[in-house]
Amino acid sequence: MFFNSQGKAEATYDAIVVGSGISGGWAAKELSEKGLKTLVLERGRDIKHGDYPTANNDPWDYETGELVPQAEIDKHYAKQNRTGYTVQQSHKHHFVKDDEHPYTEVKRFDWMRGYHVGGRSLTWGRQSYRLSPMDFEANARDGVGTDWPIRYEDLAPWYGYVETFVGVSGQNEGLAQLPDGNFLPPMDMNCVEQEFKKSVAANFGGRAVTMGRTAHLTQPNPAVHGSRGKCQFRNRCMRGCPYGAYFSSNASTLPAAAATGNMTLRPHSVVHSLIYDKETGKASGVRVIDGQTGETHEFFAKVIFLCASALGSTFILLNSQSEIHPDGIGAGSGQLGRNLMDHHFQVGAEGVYDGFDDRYYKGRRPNGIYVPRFRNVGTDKQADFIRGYGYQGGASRENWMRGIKEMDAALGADFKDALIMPGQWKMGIMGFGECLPYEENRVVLNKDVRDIHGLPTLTIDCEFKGNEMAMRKDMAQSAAEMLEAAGFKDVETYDRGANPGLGIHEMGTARMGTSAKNSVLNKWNQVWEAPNVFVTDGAAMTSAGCQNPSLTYMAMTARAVDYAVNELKKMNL
Amino acid sequence: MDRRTILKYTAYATGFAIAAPLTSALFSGCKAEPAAPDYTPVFLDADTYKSVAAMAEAMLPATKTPGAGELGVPAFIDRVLASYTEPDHQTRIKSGMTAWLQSVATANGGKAYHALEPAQQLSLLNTLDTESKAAAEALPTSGLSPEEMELQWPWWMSVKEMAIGGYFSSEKIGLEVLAYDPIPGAYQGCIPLSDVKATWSLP
Repeated sequence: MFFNSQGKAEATYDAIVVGSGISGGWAAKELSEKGLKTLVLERGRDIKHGDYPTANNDPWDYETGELVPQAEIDKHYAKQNRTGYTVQQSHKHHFVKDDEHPYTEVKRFDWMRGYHVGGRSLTWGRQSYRLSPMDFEANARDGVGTDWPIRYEDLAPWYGYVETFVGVSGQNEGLAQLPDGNFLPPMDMNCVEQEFKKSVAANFGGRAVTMGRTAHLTQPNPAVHGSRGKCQFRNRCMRGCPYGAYFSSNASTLPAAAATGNMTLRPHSVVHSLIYDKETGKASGVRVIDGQTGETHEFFAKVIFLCASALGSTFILLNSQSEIHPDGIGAGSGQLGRNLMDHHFQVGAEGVYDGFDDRYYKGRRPNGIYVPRFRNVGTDKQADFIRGYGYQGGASRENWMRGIKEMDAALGADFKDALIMPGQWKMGIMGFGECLPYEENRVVLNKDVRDIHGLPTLTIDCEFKGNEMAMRKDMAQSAAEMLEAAGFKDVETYDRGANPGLGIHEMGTARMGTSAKNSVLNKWNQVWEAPNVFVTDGAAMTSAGCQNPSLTYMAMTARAVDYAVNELKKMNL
Repeated sequence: MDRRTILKYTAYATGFAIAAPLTSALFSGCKAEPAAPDYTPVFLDADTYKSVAAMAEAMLPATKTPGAGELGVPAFIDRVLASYTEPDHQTRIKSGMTAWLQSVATANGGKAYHALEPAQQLSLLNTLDTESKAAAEALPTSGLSPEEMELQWPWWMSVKEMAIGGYFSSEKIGLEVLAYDPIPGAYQGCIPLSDVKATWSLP
């Protein structure tokens, strides 16, 4: 149906971007800056940069505190609450209500997301790492999944390009497994972290410990970063940063796109399918339900960028069914919806440091230290698992919560007064491990369960398997070894269990590959079956690496836009 | 998220997912404020509420800084139990608390905990605390499933956490007793402790 109040000409743009998160923001910026009239369709409400109502709240400013009432959690956030940190008074409005946006789990899968302008770029962890040459070669070398159709060299200049605009603070280390980048000055390590770094280098053959590479401006350059400000070390990032100090679509790419005059941003626009033109073999546009009015719209463009998140973009492809594509556009290879991956974590070790009792720190650093991958790198060969993992962690002094269980002191006056001062230094490191692509880890369309708009939903069937489980044993063990070697006491390992999704790095399901037989996308992120459709979010990933993935999505997006615009100029699209 | 992760809380900030749900929510969280003298408990019955208030005050008495009662910690505990606690944990805490208070009364000729002398209140509380910590320490090696362990978590450890969380996240303590620094501006990783008067109040 075609209910546009305007005619087809008014509903036609040069480019359409679906989604305004970390990938969609980049597509919007690059397309607009290259002169294309670009329509950005965001399924949720608008959030303008600065519209962060809780940004300056103190704990005692809430009538009921950060705790969200159990009845509200039960009604709206049964799944979003599984992280333990997303559903809090100060940022729960950046996450979906599960009752409005249901999904079905064959096995537990924690799908965390926010439907609003900026998407998860408002709430992301901001850790920014490049994949390395060995990551792009891994599938071919191991005979796992399918080969990436690109290599590190294809993406390297685009990593540099996005790092500069994003503003990534970090330290170059010259590591093959974690390439250097264009970094702003790194944040500081505290006294105990510095000791840990020295010990790990000395005791583990030069193994690196580096400051987390994070998308925070430690030294803004107005010529590049505009009006974004320097990080104030408040660590209230998930509420939205009024300083624009961390990278989000809202603070960074969308304002850049708007400044060109070429972008039209349309919130409340739920794209549910592509319009396929069998004459041209391309998609002529997208179908939209207005999230507020329920009206149906169609919009048209020469190129379409799907940046709706891994599962969001895959949903649109699966739901674009027609006689020619009965199982959705891109389903011809049989790979659409398959090879769902996430990083597995929640495993590591922690310990207590004796010493530095007279030292403390100032500021709430929104970042930690990083131990780059060292397994199956260089001469290291693990018998029990392939690929590897990195650690994120940090040291801090205990606060009053140590009074619950970690003090031997008798309760009463001295106990209370002691809790006013900081306790011992503690340090923890937690592994983030690569997950292999498994065809049977997949999503399928579910037409029986409908969302608030009456649209079909997804059924997710995904689990971690033997390689991940074997890796976890080493993740706990190696963490403890490093802490013990550095002199930590009471070192304990932990494994809180691995549920896919909880890393909020879900990826795969429309992978890139070398042919239309083994993949959904080609080496330029074009859908083989509709080459004017580009998918440049996590869906495109052929393997996961162990690095936090957002920087890769940004680089892939910028690269794909550059290609698409050149092809348009050559009249090839 | 599992309440058992309280066991494993560490305060490091990676800018990523740290599982410390109730703990982090509490100490960044609930507002303990001076309760009106006529605060009517919602979850606890009036007599139990008096005893819980006495326990909080025994643990966190007025010294050069205010005591738990003055900062509304008892009301805070009642509110958290009433509206912010899952039903099976409400049951766990209430039944454990009722049984313990009953045993105290039985051993003291029918006198409720709140009616005992302060010194005896503190002594009983310390015994309970030692036993509860030992029970909590034993859980990870109990062979129980994580879900079963959660439901075996000692009731006093939960109430103690609410009391400490409520006390130290109150406005009075956050602004006047602890070191309040809403906009640090920078991170300095290794400064003399003597430059700071107390633990930083904001997480």
